[in-house]
This record gives sequence, structure tokens and C-alpha cells, in this order.
Amino acid sequence: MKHGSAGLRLAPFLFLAFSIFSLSYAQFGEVAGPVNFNVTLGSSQTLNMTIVNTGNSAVKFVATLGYLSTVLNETAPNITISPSNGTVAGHTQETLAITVRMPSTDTPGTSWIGIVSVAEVSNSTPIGGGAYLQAGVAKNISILASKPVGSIVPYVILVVLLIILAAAAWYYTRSRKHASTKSEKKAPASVAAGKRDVNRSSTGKAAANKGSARGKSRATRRPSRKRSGSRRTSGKRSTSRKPAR
Amino acid sequence: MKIGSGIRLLIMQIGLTAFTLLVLIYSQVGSVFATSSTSNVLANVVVSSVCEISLAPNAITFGNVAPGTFHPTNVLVTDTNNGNANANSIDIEGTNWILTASVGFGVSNTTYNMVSSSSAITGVQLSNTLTPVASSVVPAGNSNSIYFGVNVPVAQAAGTYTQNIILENSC
Repeated sequence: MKHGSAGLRLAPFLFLAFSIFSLSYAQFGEVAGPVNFNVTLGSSQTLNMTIVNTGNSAVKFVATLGYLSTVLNETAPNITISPSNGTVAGHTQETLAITVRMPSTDTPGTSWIGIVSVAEVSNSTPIGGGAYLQAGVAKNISILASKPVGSIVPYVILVVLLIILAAAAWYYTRSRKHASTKSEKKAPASVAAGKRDVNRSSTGKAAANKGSARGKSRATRRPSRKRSGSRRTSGKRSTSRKPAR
Repeated sequence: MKIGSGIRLLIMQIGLTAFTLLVLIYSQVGSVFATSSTSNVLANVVVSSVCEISLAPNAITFGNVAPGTFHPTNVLVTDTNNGNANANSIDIEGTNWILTASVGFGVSNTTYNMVSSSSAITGVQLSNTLTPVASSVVPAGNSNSIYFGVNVPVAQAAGTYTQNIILENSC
């Protein structure tokens, strides 16, 4: 009985002690690591920052761009943080997206440094005046403006044009070669025909000249089916022809 | 007689079949109990590197300071990093001292320093832009001390002024 009554008497104090323990200070933190932006002119890039509440109680926060360096004659990039405010429950973490939009007019290679600030929000004020201290975390960021990567379309067009030109040149050369081979093939046949005439004629030279001349003229002429038929009988014709006097 | 022997034969056959079935069932059940299978689930977790901040106290009072005088830079604030990563720097900014919407004095009247001064107002003037505190690193599991003081301008109206100071660990 005595033990029981002592326990009952201690209960309110234990409850109070537990309550005090539960109201421990919030521990605010951030995941370590650099946040380095490399943003193409005229475009944007988003990187994350993670904040952590390792305490028991929820922490209200506000995220702002605490500092951004200035560069002479350059437009500062536009920086947004999302969400820009909120509440992190006890023993949880939240990811904030930092987006950097780079003006298209800036010079490639220009760099900026900045600080993204995530501070605890509280409306309470110190009793009797003084300064209220707000804990927070900051993330140092670096931003580099980079040259936009050129489009590959002009290169593709150039390559296609080169291929077309090469193909046209090859076809042209091939057709020329083909035509000359054909003419070369025809020429010996007509020459041979001329020679046969010479062999068969009694006087020789005049007939040979005539025959060869005929052969040449035939060879240079465009062949037709009818003529090819006559060519076949050219030997016979030459035999019936009278030799030149 | 023939019928009786037939029945006996039938009963024997039934018995034999039942026995065979029992043996089969037993062997199956036995094999079920005999074999045990284990499967493992591989779990992993990546623990992040985190730096933290915890300020104590979370409000400082300079007490009564007459206009044209100062409170020396010796009011201690402890910044503790209970994380597993070092805080590479402490950044600080503040707001103006406010009595009412139209009465106050500048943020730069507050000074901070990493060392305490018992009689002088020393260190760096606070600004409303986030500024790194010089040579301030808070190793993981350790704390750093920052001391504050205030200078009250001449002929400043009497009253209870307040200010917000933001301290941020960065890693």
C-alpha cells in the first residue's frame, strides 16, 4: 500500500518531468555537400538541398536567398527556392529545390557565389527586451554560366550534303567510265572488220583505208539493232565489193 | 464360406491399401517437416552527412543600457553542432532594433566576436545581410562560442527594444 501511494504521489512529477523532456529544443540541420550549378545561358538548372529536424517538436522555416555576389556588366541569375517556407515535423527531413535561371545575355564563364538561408521562424520575443536568436542552416552555392551547346542539325545537313555530292561524283565517274569502255569495245570490232577487208582485197592499202575508215565511223556512231545486223554481214559485203582501183 | 473368405480378402486389401496410404502420407509429411528453407533479405541504408545547429540560449538580454553607452561584447551564445559532419562556417545576420514601428536604431549597433571582452565593445558590427563569421568552424559533436554586445546611440528614446539575430551553420 505504501509503495502504491508513493507511486501515486510521484505520478504528477514524473508526468511533468516527461513533459519537460518532450519540450526539448529543436535541432535543425542540413545534409552536407556542395551545391554547384553549371547553367547554360538562357536555360535553368535545379539542384536540391535537404534540411533535417532531429528534434521532437516541429520547426517552421523560411527559405531565402541570403546572399548573391554581383558581377559588373552581368545580369544576376534568377534564383528560386521551393518550397520557400513550411514546417518540418520532428525527426523528419525535407528537400528544397533550388532553381537557377541564367539570362541569355550573360557572358559564358561568369560565376557567382551565394548563400541559401533556411531559418527557423518564431514569433516569440525576448521577455524584457533584447535579441531573439533564430537558428538556421545555410547552403553555399556556386553558379557558373556556360556556353550553350550548338545544335547538331547544321552538321547533319552538311554531312548529308557531302554524302549526296560524293554519290553524285561517283555516279558521274562511273557512267563516264562505262561509256568509254563501251566505245573501246566497239572500236576493235570495227578495226578488225577493216583488216579483214584489207586481207581479202588484192590492191590492199586503199581498201584497207576505206575499210578502217568505215569501221571507225561505225564505231563512233551510235549503234542500233538494224545496224548491228548489217555489221554482222559486213564481211560478206566486203567480199562482194569490187576492190579499189 | 466363400462369401466370408471374399469379405476377409476384401478387408485385407482395404487394410493394405490404407496402410500404404498412411505410409505415403507419413513420408510426405515427414519430408515437409524435415526440410527447412531460409531466405535472406539484404537491407541497406545510406546515412547522410549532416551538420546541425542548436543555440543556447535562444534569447539574450542586455539589461539596462543608457543612451550613449554600451554593453560590452560578452553575452555568450553557444552554437552546438550535434551532427556527424563539420559545419564549415557560421553565417550571421540581424534586424534593426525596434521599439515601435517608427522608433528604433540600426542593426550595426550590435557587435559579435569569437572572444569575450569584459569592458569594451569589440568585434564585427552585425548587418542585415548574411555574412560568414570569421574563422568559425563547428566540428561535429562540438560547439562554438559567440559573444554579443550592443551600443545604444545618443539620445535614443527610452523603452524596451528587440532585435532578431539569425545564426546559421553551413556544411
